[in-house]
Amino acid sequence: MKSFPASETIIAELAVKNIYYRLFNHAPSVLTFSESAGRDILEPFLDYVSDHHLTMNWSLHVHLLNWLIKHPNWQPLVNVAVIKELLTGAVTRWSLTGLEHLSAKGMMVVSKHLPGTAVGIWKSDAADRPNKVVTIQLSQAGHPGEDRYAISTVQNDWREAQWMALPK
Amino acid sequence: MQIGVNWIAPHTLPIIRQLIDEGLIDFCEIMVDNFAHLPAKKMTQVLPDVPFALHIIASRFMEKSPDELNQLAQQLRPWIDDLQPLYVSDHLVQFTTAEGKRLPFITEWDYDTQYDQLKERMQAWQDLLGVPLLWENHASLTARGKNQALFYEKLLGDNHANLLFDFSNAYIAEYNQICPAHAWDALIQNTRHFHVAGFKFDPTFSLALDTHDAPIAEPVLALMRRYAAKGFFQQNKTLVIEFDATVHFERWKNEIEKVRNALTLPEGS
Repeated sequence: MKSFPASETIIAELAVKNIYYRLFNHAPSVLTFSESAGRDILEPFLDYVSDHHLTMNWSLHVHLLNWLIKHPNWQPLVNVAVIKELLTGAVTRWSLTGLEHLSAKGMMVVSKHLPGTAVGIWKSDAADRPNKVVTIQLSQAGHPGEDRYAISTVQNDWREAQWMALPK
Repeated sequence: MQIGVNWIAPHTLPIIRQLIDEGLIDFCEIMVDNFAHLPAKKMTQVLPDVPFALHIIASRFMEKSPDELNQLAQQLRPWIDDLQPLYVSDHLVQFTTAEGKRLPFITEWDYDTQYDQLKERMQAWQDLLGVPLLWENHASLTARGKNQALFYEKLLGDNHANLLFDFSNAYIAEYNQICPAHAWDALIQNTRHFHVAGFKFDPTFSLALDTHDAPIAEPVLALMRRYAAKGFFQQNKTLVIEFDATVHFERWKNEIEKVRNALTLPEGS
């Protein structure tokens, strides 16, 4: 039976559906881990997000990666391809918040679980071309060894990019 | 009445080009968030032959510090100067918490308790951009939207802002039993710019959700016919038919034709 206006509970459930879409749309491999269409991942992960006061922005995919790797059921399933997919999800979601970083040309993110590699995105440099996701090989010295991200304001050039802690 | 479509990302450009070439649209509304990192001339390079309107999704004008907002305005003003858009529009919604954390779901502001703050920041944002802004009505889901039309009536009188009236959002708010569509009647008489889009019903919660990925629903077309019959649509008005997902040329063309028919048919015919 309908109840109007929608209750806070309904809005909260809609919010969870929205997060589900945002997370798994960019991480379809993670969804295949689950035998309950993702619920056995999403619900405990959202408890973790709440307990640790994490933000729902683009960094959520990196936090999901860390949570999966700590979890005994999911850790064996997290391979390099899954890590790259989650990092790609993070940079893609970052690119969807364009007004927060208009002067940025690109962003890359690294995980402590993927030494030597960053996943980046270059914003399009023309109105008829899409953004471009790239994999960047880093030297041992170039990888900060922790979860970090860096922004470049120069197209196709990461040299001036400085590693920063993820937003919480 | 000028008919336009929304341009949300580079991949829909070929469709928009075809809609222009076939004479189906008169202008293009750019989703600023996804393009404003480019110089404005990049837009005219690929679409040199149509006027533009500018639609801002997430300025977060209420949530940014004055310095951050000023910085954003400095970056957007050249776009406005160069493109001379038909209008610039924004949204009255909250994206982040007071601590700056992203909300899982955008929400309306409290139109009653935050009236003065909204009015002040809307005016400041408009002043920074140097153009009168249009503000789009929200597809309300919660009781917060109950006084949305009243808020607009008061606000537009107070600070000379304008409404961007979205027919489907008004219908969604009515379907969700937040605010009847006729609450907007007085405002629409002075409104020049309109939106319409498809939406979905969430079967679990029996709520209508603004998704921009479906054909325009018949009750929304009926709402448009009702206003058309009252003579609200004149030559100096615009209407954008929005599609954000599941879009292809024939589908958009079909929606444009449905809307054109709705606007030319008298009520009840």
